[in-house]
Amino acid sequence: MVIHLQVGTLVYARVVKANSIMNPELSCMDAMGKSTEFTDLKGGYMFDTSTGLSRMLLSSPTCPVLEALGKKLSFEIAVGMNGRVWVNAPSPSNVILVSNAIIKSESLSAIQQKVMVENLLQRVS
Amino acid sequence: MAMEHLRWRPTVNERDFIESALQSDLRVDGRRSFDFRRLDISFGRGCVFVEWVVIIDVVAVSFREDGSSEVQLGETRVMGYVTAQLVPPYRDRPNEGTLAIFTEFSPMADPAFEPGRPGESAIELGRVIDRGLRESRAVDMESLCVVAGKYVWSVRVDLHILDNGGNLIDAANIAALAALSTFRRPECTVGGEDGQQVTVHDAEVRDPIPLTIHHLPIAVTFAYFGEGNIVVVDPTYKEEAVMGGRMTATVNSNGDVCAIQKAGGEGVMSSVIMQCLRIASVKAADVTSKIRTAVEKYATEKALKKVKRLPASMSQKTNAPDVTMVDKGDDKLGSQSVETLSDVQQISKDPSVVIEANDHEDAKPMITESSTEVKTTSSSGAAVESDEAQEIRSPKSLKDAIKPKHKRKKRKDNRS
Repeated sequence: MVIHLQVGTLVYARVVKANSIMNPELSCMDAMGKSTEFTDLKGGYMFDTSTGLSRMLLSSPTCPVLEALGKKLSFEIAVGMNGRVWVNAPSPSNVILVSNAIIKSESLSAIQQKVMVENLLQRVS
Repeated sequence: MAMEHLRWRPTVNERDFIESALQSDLRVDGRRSFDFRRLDISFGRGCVFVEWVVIIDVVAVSFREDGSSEVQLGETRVMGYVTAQLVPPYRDRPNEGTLAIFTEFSPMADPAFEPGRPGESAIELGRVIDRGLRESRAVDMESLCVVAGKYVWSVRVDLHILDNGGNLIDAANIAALAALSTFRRPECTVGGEDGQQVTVHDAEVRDPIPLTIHHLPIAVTFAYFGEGNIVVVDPTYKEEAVMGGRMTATVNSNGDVCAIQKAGGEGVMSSVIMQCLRIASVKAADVTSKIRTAVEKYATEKALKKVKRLPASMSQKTNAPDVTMVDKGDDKLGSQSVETLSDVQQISKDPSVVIEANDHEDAKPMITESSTEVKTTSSSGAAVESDEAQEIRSPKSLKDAIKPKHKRKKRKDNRS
């Protein structure tokens, strides 16, 4: 199955093969062969962070900043191991709020993250 | 072009989002349309000029005190520094100095910058800043003339882009102005039999003098989106990648327009241009005051460093054991002077020599202030020894040298 994508499309995929010799290979199916939410992402906003932050965002239990944001706002998020984070929400102001909160949470401890998110939400509402 | 593949391209999502957010007056970093990012200006010893860093090798490193500045505007970092040289003037302007701007777009700022020949954007940046300073006659050129027709000062401003976070022109302009404001050129006198001999005085002999700067031309960059309807000030890196057109207006706080640069991009209505010029003059006043406060703060710090502070004990030259010693130094003196005592006794035999040594220590500022710290780090420099020699005027005994009688606590086991 050939998927035709435009240059500049944002894709959330699994990397099957990536070495210096061959062309890299991506897959929309997970390792078992089931098709999952790997797709090209529409709408929303993407930004770059460090790989450390993206690992923190992917860790379970959910990292404090995402938890604190999730309690008050509704948004969806896709995090790549390469440090790219995609955020989508119904209103642009929410998207901007979530993305700035995530960027600022990199060097903060769990409690500091919760406090930062609270202050941010208070200032906006 | 080779660097095209390295230029960062925004995804469809980012482009659409930035544009749609701007329709509702929202910018991605949470600023309003006409807000500048946070501006930090620092000077002097914080700046190191490193030439051609090749991972391991550093070819040339020089410290500049006067005339170097580092500006951080959000994520964008630019370093500027000013040097001057005596050269023969141009033929058609025999009694004017010269001013030249050089830009260095280092690849560490942006992978799209290539080392070597400056690219188009580097040349444009240099031209805009040069035009803003030269055409508006911000720096007085005639005061740079030493001997008309023979020697004038040629001022050179080097701008190094350290980090490209968007809006390089504004940040580099502020760096140039800050560096020019703190630059000091050596004083020179004309003498000799024919009045043509120029003596350039060293900074130690005569204080260097600042440049005459009449006003500060501030560059304010506007980015246009959505067919010229939406205008923002101080675009970030991503906004620059998505914008339709850009215009830079160089304005000073008196309201004079020094230069305007609009190179290509979308067409913009004249009413929008006039609105932008009005906004630019408001922003220019704000930035001018920030530059001036930063420059004044640096100047006062420098002046304070130059003030020689003599230790309190120097005022009482008569030998008196009940000398007022700095309380902080007491305990530290005790521990230190035992080790350096032999040296101290040698010096105290010749107090006149020591006094002279103290007076000539122009190069070592803040003798007293740093003396307590110097003692704790156990560095036995000449300053430490001479200080202790002053304070211990006539050591009667070893114990007297450590602590005079009246300051010792009475202990049962240790009678002095």
